[in-house]
Amino acid sequence: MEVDKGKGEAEETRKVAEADRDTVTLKSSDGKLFEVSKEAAARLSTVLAGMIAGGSIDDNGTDLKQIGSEALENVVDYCNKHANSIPSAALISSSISFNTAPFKEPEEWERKFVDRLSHDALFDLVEAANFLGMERLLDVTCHKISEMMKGKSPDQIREVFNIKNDYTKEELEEIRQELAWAFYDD
Amino acid sequence: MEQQATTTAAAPYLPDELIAEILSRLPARSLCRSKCVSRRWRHLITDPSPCFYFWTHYDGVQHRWDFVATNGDGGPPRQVDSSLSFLPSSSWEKVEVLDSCNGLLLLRCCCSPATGDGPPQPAFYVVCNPATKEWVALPQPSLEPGFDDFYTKTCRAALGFDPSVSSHFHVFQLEEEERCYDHYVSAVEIYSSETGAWVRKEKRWYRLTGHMTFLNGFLHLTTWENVLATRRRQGPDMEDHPGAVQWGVWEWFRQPLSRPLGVHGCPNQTDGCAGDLCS
Repeated sequence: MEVDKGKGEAEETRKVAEADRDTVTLKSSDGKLFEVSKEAAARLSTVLAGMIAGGSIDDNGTDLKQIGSEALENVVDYCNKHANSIPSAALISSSISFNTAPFKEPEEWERKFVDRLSHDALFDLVEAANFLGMERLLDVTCHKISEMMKGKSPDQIREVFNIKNDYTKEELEEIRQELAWAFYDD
Repeated sequence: MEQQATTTAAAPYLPDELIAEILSRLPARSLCRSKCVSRRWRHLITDPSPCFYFWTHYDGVQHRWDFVATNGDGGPPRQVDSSLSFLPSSSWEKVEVLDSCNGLLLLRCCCSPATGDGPPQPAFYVVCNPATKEWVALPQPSLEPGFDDFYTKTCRAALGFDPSVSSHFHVFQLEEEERCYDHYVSAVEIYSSETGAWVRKEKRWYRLTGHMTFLNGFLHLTTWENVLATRRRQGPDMEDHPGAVQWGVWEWFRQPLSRPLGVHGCPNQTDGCAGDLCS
């Protein structure tokens, strides 16, 4: 009886410890492990929130086969930074105020966070944010890419996105004429 | 240095939904310029789907408005306040959504009586843009919006707005008259945000189903006689301003339906059916 009781208590303690763990371990497609704040992960990612609530988080590393280690490191970095940052008034203010746009401009640290990324890393991070259902990170990264596109010529944009021009010369000329107004003073 | 090293090795393609996410954040001019990038990008920019439309539904107590998507996940688009909380509607007794067109909403609103048992206040139209939270109350047409004494009704109104043609919108208020216990359209009163005034036109009689759609500068109305009645624009300026709404001279024209119209018999932008009919 004594032994059983002890065992039960130990089991109980282990369960409590698991529930109390304030981080979760994520595993990238290439097998690297990353620790991330459970609270921030659940708050920032609808997919991770669902996994945490559904109990499908693996202590030995939850497999995220679609995300490479560099992108996952950035995701985790973003979550942990978010966990430590004090939300500014702009982020916690209600979206129903009269004059503010519903999209909140990136915070200073978010701006710096995406500014330091290479094109490759930024594009991978957009995909990871989309896969994990991280609305805010998707906003911040897409915002950054759209800023990179502003004022650029179609050629420059093709270069950024590594896209091949599949128009004929005539077609392109036709579109350019149709959109002449969009090409003034830049 | 880093710029040089990374652009050549950039991820070749993002999935369409992410390209669309990025494009949706561009200002109009950059967005239009991006049509030149590739055929796929042009398709993404000009493709109307996934589309979100406002719709109203009755929840047993009152009519409510919400978004409906033609495809995709069905959730409301971000950056749009679908609760319309930017309107001072707390001081308005009643707000009805009558129509939506290319991002604008037409509402019929009514203020509470000045005193509890005072006379009811006349209803008025409001046009708003839920994305930018701008709104404007229109001056009164000659007949009060929502007027109904059985013999004459102004219950139906529609909104015409095509941002690719003009930043101005039109509001159409239909006047219906009773004939042999049925109601027929007898006149249309049209408001232009450009002139800020209403113009009233009397014309023929049609018995409407209630479906109205503004497309390519025409207001399309479906009728019970299985025809599509169209307010057709005419005028010398038409050539100079293709798509500009010219309401100076106008006529109804009847067009037998060769094939079914879109959802609920209402022509819509995506099936191109109404476009066929008025060409």
